[in-house]
Amino acid sequence: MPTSSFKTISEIATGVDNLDPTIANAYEARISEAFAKKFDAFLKDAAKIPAGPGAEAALSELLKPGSPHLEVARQIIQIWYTSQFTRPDGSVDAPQTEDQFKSALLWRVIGAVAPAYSDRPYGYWKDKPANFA
Amino acid sequence: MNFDFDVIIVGTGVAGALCAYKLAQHGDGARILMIDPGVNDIDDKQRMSYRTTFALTANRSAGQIPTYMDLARDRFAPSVDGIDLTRYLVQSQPPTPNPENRSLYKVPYQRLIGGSTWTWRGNCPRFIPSDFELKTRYAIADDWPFKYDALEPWYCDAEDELGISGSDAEWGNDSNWVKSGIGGTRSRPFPMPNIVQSFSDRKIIAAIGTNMKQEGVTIEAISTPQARISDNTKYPDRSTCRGNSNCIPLCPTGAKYDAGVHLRKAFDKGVQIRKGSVVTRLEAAANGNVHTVVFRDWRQDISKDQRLTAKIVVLAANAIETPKIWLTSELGNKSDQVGRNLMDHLQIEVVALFPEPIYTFRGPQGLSGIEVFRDGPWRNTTGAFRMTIGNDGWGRAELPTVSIDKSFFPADKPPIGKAAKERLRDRVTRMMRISCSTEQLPSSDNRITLSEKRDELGLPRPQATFRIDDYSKRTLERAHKVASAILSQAVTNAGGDPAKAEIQPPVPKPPAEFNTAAHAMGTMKMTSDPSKGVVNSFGRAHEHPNLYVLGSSVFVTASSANPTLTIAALTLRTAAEISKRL
Repeated sequence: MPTSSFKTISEIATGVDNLDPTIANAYEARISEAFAKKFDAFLKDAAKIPAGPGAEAALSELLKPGSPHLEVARQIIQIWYTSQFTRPDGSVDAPQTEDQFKSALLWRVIGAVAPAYSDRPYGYWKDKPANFA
Repeated sequence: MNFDFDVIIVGTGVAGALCAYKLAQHGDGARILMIDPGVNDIDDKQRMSYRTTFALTANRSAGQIPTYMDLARDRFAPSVDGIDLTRYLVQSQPPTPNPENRSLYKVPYQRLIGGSTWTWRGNCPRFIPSDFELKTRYAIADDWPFKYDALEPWYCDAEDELGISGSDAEWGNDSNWVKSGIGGTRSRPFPMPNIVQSFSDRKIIAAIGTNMKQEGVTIEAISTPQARISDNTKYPDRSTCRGNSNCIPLCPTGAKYDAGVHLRKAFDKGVQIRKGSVVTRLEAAANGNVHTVVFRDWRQDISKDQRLTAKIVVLAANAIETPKIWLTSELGNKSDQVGRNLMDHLQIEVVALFPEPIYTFRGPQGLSGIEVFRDGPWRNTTGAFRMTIGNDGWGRAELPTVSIDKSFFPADKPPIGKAAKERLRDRVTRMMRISCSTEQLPSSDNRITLSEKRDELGLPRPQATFRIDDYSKRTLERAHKVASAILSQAVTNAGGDPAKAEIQPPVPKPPAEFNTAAHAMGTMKMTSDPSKGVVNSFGRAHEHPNLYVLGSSVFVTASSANPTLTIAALTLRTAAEISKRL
């Protein structure tokens, strides 16, 4: 899959593999709507990065301090990890669905579940988590 | 005189709900009406609707109101939220940037069916014997009109009603807590065992150990009694806790107590409710009795007053709405104490990074605490405080969005990718937090009055004057110092370096930076002497023999403990008294 794919770029950026394609489509639409040309420019430059083991380093290089793509990348990270992001005007774009809220990566990365959506039994919190993203 | 009802109860929070249920249970067919501005339901469907709203709301951590926002209700019966503290509650001074905002009274509360019990943490420690005797023991504030022992049986009943999970080993008569002389004795065990402590609790408690001392006091961290279900054998209508890490703003399962528990029971016994109705005033007869409740239904003609009468009227709003109604009604206030002595638990929290992952955000938001500073010989000059060990990262000190940004875009490392993800995991899973709730003394200058500003119904809005005194400043400073030292020592004991633990705030900064626990108390002081307070020891108004006040507004002093269990105990005591008159 080319790195021009929003899902692929997101996987490199977030450090989490196998992101949900449906969620990816929804997030791409939200970020694209908010950042328009800046988002397109980021995708265009990211598409030049060859797929493969060096992709993460190349994307990091693209996002070094002073990069014009920093803000878009920052919000792509935020939307994947929290299901919300900050628009250019400073307003916060809220999750559109409960599935988006539940899929926020932060909780999976720390071994927790999205607040208010636990499907775990009483007392699960006594032991350390077994699974992480 | 024929009344429309035997009892009208204004407010449907824990006090109103519990009172209604008990009167219906023992009142021998009493006709009981509840009045509340809210229009929400109290069933699981409503709970799931709130959960959806919560999930789809931006900036959920900025305030509690978005989860419960009802635009129509909020126009006519606004709640106080954490986003704009002046939207409804008028502050005596305009908001200004820190540190001058110390005079803002930060007290979110909900005007819903079920009140603010939708959105509380569920901690239910009892007050301790000294809390009722500050004047006798420390020559400060006032004594309550009764002692701990008089309330103790009602505490037991309240624990049964709310469904408290607690450890008899840690809180019972053979515990260090009672043997130390700080905690009161218990005549009955908890109805359920304590909620199992979290992995993070156990790590932190192990790091504290058994020999840590701060300011000469041995530090012991123990489980916190909670109004949430650990074993629902006795409470089959409620779920056991599923560890949603979301007690505030919403428990999605009902494992945590909310007033809906007793409202449902009360309605099953025939108690009626007028929803969407804001009480505009109470009318006193020439003999002092208050039989007439005047209200407006904001879903109808808001200019039209409606009136209902009752043999007994119970005000069970909160420590802000109750004095507002009282003052608007121009009821008796010979003592000049109505609205005065507004108190809360001023809070400060200290955070650190533990040397290894402790995995918070799993389970209830707080399960353990440190109680040993709730009393001591220093209390004549410095207030008591209790400490909660958080199970939700750094709470307000660093929101997840900030942690993500720090981890993915640090100044000195390549951004993004798997290394960034590991940085995030490493940081968030090591977050530990101690929150200190401090005792605030009553002051007649801290008060609720009527503002000249009006709400949508044309009613005066409540105005808060709230300043902290030197006693509170000393308490906040001491709490910060002790909590910081505990975290520092715990990090050391666990093999870490406190210098790398990001303990913050790093230096004592109170009083500029504090929050309240949103535990509004005082304003309708309970006294034996009518010249010094508003209600007697049973919550009956000194100047209105058939008018009762329930809730934390009657508290004489604030303690350092969460107020809900004491509200419930007092309510049961008062309800038993009212039952005798039905």
